[in-house]
Amino acid sequence: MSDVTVQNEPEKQAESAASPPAPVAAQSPAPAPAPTKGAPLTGEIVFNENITVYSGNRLPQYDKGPVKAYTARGTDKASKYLFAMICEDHLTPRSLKAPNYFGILNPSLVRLVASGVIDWTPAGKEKYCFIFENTLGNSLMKDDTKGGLGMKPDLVLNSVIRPMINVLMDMRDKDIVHGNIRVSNMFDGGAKSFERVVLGECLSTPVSYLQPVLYETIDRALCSSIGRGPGTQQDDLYALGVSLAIMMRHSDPAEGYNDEEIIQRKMDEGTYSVVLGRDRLTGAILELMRGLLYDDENQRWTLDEVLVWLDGRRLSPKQAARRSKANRPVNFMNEKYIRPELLAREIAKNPAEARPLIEEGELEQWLSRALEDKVATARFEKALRLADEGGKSGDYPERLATRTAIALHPEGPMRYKNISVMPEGIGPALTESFLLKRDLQSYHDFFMNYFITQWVDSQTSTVPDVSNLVGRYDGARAHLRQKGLGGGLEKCIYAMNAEVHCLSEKIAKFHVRTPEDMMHAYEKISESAARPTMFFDRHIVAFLSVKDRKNIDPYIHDLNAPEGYRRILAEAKTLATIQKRSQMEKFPGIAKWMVESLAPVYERFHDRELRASIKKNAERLAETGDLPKIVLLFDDPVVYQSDNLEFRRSMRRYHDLEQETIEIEEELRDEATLGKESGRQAAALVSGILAGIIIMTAIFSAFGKGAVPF
Amino acid sequence: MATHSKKKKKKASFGWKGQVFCICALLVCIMFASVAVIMVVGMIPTLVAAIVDRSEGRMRALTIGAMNFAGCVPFMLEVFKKGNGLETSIAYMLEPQTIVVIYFAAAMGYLIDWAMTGIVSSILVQRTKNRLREIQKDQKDLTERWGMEVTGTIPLDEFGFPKENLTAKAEES
Repeated sequence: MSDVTVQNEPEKQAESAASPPAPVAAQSPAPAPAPTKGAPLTGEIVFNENITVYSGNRLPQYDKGPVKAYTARGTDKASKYLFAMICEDHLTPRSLKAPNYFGILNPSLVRLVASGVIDWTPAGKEKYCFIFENTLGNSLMKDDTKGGLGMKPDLVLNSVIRPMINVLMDMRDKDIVHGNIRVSNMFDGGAKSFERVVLGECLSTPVSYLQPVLYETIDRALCSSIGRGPGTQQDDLYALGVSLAIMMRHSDPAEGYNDEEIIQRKMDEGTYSVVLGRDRLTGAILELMRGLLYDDENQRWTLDEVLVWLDGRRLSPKQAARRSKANRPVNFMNEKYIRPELLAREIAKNPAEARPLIEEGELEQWLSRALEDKVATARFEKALRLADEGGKSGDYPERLATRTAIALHPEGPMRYKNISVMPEGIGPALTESFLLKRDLQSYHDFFMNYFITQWVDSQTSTVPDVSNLVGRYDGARAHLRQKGLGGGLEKCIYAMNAEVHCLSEKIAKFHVRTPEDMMHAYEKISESAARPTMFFDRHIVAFLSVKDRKNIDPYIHDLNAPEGYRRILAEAKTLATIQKRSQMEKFPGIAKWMVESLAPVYERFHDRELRASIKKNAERLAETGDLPKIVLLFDDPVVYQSDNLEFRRSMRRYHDLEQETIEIEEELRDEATLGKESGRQAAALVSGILAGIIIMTAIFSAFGKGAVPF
Repeated sequence: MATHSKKKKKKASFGWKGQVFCICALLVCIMFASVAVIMVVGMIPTLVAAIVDRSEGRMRALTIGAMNFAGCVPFMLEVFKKGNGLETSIAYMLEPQTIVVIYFAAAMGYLIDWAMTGIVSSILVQRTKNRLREIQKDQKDLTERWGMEVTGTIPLDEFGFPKENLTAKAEES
């Protein structure tokens, strides 16, 4: 696929894209790929009737990691110059936030024009995509973790801070956390200078997935990038602070440091020092930078405080709370640690090596004597008790390490084996692991070990909506105990990640996000010769159960039944319920497919004539596509009862006939004598009657008038 | 023991009632000696048939006896009309025509027995065979409508369906 832009790009943007980087950039970002003038638009794919996406025309400057950007064109009411972000399945797009995002009309934020499922022919499957108005221009900085732009504070204030704060206010109003604020996601809007900075999109990947460690707070930076959770506006303000620092600084004090070193330096020196180093800021901007770059979330400025600052009022500086540090280090794996957060990270990474340190009391001694933190010691003791509850076999070292890490660094992520997530981030992490076919057993154990209560109990600040959070983890444990369809890790995926589409292999070519989408997908599949026999699998059942339990939960028991006819009928009932409850159109394809798969259900009628009659009716109804009516044919208990009764009667009758046959065959075995007795009786009767007539005649002849002598 | 009780029963059936009947019959024979002569000589075929007949209820003897008796009655009436004399009855019995008529009547009885037995027997055999065919047809109809499970020869589950899937088996074969 060639990296080209299109000839019809707006003149201004085309120029800006081709122009050298902004002159203010001290360490200039790499220029965006120059458009190939006259390059034809290829691979057109129609989206929502009035938008065309060109799969042959990439816009790599707008890519978001694995999520690629493509040229798009609007017709009619849609803007003409657009770009499409084609989302990756394993990175759950923030589709539920799209309606809120639509409501934001701010020139400093890239405008969302449309979103939804597109039939992405290059991949041969449907994908979720966001269509944005192409007003971005060039990125302010290609590599946003190194160097700096050396911009003047006044310029930054007017062209970046004010518009970005406006954007954040709009996003707060719409209950959206951006999670993607960094210099490389800020654009010049096609202008040669930074007069109109535009913030890039944030919907195509999970929150903070693409954020470098530098832009994340210490606690969130310790998570895996997929498991950082939804974040808060405070995290956005922090990222904005780091972005501003990089724009204003002239040199990179953290140059050459890897992620772990950056985190360690943030802990040791504070973020302000790590991102600004020797760059000296003066005046009002210094206050803002200190306010935004507080590592302690409670100390960090809120949006309202930034607005107060923008109004010109000066806020009294807060005393930054230092992270606790031990007065002597503890040795672990030939390294010395004085900060519990860093030790927690290493313990979680090396559970087997950590076990002696924890069990032999060295760590407890260090906490109580060197760190002198009674609360942390109490948390650690509790962690030991909780780890012991599951016994000391199997995954004990990992459990012990996880619980110890939570005790040492309660604000940090929950870390278990290869999992390192904030509680809300487990859903996207699990989804990614499933789709990338990573080890899922650790997720199973993670839920079953129920680290969440320890994590919640350990928090020093209030956890928002804690009951809902714990409830969802409770639910996950319950799902895992349920081994059949409608349970298991599949259900955890959908329960913990509300935005994920159905991951079933049966509908792998479709991006199904609702039960209604699923019906449409089935209607399309029904036309295929390679359609499966059964409609559902574990994923589909779990997905439907989470999306709308009334559709499927009444039939879960039957869906798990060993008898095929019960499973088939339960599937049919579920599909009929979705059609009925959602008041959907008719589905002749599904109906035909359903009727063809109903053979085992017909066999549940004893009477072959009844079977034929019901089959005929079902086939007739299949043409109408009315699923509830088809299901109704099999939903009348009276029919089953009378069929069963008649069958029992027929069995009795057959048995009686059998007995009669035996008797007759017994009689016929001696055919010569059969009927002789009756014949003789008949002969006696005839003979008696005849004799009687003769005798009477003789008497009358002898004694009657004019009797004649014999 | 069983044989002993049977003998006892047989003896008991010829009890005092039988003895009274025999005495009465003897007295009647003495009183109507002329008629008795015709009866004794004329009913010899019946006596033979009764001895030979081993069928239940001795129906053949009854058949022959009825016709035999009908053959005797006209002569007995004649003797009775002519004064009921012993000489008359002997004279009648010495006439070959009397014996021929009486024995012919007995032969007619035998003929009736032979004919009726044959006719009724063949009718019954035919009817039984027809019934057997009807049963087989009914059974076939039942099997066609309700399947092999109606025969009760295959193990069924609690709902009356084969424990083994017959359709699948048929398809496999």
